[in-house]
Amino acid sequence: MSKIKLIYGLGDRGKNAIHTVGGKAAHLGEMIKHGIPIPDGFVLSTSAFERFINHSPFRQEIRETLDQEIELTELIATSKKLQKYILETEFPSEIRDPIIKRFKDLESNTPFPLEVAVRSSANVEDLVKTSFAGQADTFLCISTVEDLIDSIKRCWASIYSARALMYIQQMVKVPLNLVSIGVVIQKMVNSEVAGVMFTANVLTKDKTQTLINAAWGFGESIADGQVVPDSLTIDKDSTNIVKMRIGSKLKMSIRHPNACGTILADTPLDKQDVLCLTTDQIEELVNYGIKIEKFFNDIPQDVEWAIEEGRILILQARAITSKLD
Amino acid sequence: MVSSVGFKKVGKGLSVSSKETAEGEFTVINSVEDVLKLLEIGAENKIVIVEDCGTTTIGPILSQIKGIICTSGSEGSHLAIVSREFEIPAFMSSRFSIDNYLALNGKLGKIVSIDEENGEIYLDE
Repeated sequence: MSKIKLIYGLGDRGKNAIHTVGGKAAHLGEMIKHGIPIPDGFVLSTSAFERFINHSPFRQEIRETLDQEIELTELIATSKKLQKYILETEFPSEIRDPIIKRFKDLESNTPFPLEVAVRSSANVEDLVKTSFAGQADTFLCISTVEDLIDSIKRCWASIYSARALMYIQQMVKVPLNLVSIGVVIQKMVNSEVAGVMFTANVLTKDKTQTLINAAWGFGESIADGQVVPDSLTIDKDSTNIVKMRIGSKLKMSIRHPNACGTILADTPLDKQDVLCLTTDQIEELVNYGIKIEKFFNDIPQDVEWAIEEGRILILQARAITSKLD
Repeated sequence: MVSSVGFKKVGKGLSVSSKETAEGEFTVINSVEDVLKLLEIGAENKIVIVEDCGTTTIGPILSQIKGIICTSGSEGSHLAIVSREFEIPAFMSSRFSIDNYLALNGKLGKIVSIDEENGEIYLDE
């Protein structure tokens, strides 16, 4: 048996392990080491993805395709072909079994029916200059082993979506055969409020300020632009609000009532034009941001966060990729 | 900000990236196919108009285009993050004062940031 590890605990690997577990997982692991509250979970290593490809009856075709630059005119057809190869490959039991075991372990520590989020963690993700923001897919509210296995496959396949392939070739500029993807599997946070926090003001480039976007429900509504969120500019030193724009928040992302995944629902009228964070929550968030920024070498961070039953959880941190000087 | 002579204000948005004024040809983009077409013919003078700011489909042409008008989103949306990587003027949650913004497709115009967060969209008449 090879000693290559296919699964790690989320806190096992830190910020230098991007090649082993991908950018998102490496950064989450680093935050766990520093005591930042992160939802429990585990991570499939990039080696698990490579093992899966090696096991595929289409491995030859996949490798040959990735060994060369894809012509733009061929991009959509090639993307479809690669994704089909991944989706039609059977999950080998040497990867499937330990995933199921970890899932069951996670379930045994949960007092209510377990739901997880399945999130991409590519080795070309969350880099200092290229965020890879929104290129690969996330799957929320997964509750069964079958849906989990299916989501992992679809998450892997999303690295070969036409838009991801274009982004990698044109922006990251790494040969496709060096691109790999880890997968983060975490307990779902049933957030009442969630959002994005930039530990520098990305609009004015002021590093003494934090900029927060916040909305009701799951934070994907902000990343995907489905709501106009609240926007708060905070002075980091005093945690005073410097500027506030209350968003209309007409919609909110919530759990699908009778299937896995989420839906966009109307926000109750009495919550639409109301600030969705308390002063205490704003202060706590800003202070987490300051702490996170410190152990990522004082590089201002783009942080995704959520609040569940009043408790703040951090879902992701990556360097702010825009120039701040 | 006084609108320039010969330009008519047709909309506004939340300015989330570079505050430079951008002039160019409005081009509506809906799909990866639209992006590929632009890559072939060149996207150098385009101000693209998109609805979806979650999936950053227009990534590959960011190094070429002049500006972005998105009908949804905020500072924290994926497209806003990526537009700042490239320092391209970008407006989120843009609203138009004309009946249908599709009528802007192929027309010349400009986008202007009037302060830290407010941007205006002008059509060249």
